[in-house]
Amino acid sequence: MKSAFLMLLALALLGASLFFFYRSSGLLMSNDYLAGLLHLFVGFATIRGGVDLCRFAVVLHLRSR
Amino acid sequence: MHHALLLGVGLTLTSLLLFIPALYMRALTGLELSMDMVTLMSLPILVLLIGTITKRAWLLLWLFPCSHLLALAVIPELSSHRLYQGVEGLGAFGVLLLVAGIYFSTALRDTEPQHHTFASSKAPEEGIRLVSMSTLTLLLSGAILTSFLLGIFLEPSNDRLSANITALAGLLTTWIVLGRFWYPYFIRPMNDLESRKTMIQEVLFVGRITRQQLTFSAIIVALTLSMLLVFNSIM
Repeated sequence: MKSAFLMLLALALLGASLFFFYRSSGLLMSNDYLAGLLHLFVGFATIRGGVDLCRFAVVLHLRSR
Repeated sequence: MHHALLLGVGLTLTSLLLFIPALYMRALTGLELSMDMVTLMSLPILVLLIGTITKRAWLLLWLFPCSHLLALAVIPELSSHRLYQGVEGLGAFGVLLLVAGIYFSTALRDTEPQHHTFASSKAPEEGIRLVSMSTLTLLLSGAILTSFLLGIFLEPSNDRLSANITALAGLLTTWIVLGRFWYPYFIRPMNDLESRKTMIQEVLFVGRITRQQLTFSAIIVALTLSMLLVFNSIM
């Protein structure tokens, strides 16, 4: 149950990072390079958090078996 | 059967990438193809045939996709923006990406015994896990690239330099996410027993995760998502 909840949170963060990447590409297309780069970094941080939550969920799942 | 599938998907990919655009541009702009150009366009078919027979991973996964680049570089009309403009162009590009995804998935499965010999020596569930991990990785990389491509296609700007920079940023981002975060932190521990033990040791404290910590994580994620909503409504 706990691992499923964590996996859900991880998916939400992965989805959020995709949104940041989308915004970043829009900003890069409108020649706003600094803002695009900053959005890219936020996307990286969010996806890193999502991957970490995935790891937590997997470890919880493995330990519960 | 599997050879036929790989050949079929590979030929469809080459047709969608080179031959159909050539026919379309010929009708649209009167593009004349010389013998050299047709030879370059046929090069991927030769590579695909050799790759299917020899089952070499580098031929199927690297040389075949890269062999299209020669024709695309020599005949710029094949990657003209007139091909992929508008909703129909976006749809055509989506189909192209879908076929490319199916090709890589098929080629990965075809070369799996050479790539991951440990899969056959372990339990069947390990092999299934390996396949599902490949699918997850494909989905993630596809989602990241799509998020960048949506920005390129939906933005009204026609600046080719910006489009190229954005496409390169998308590719770089995909490589960084897969190579730096996704593979070492998630995929490798899932498929390698030693790495998995290390991962479990690293995140051992999760076993004692309290309800308070779980609630805190949920609040952080909810805050991030609500910020996104607010941000989206402002922009």
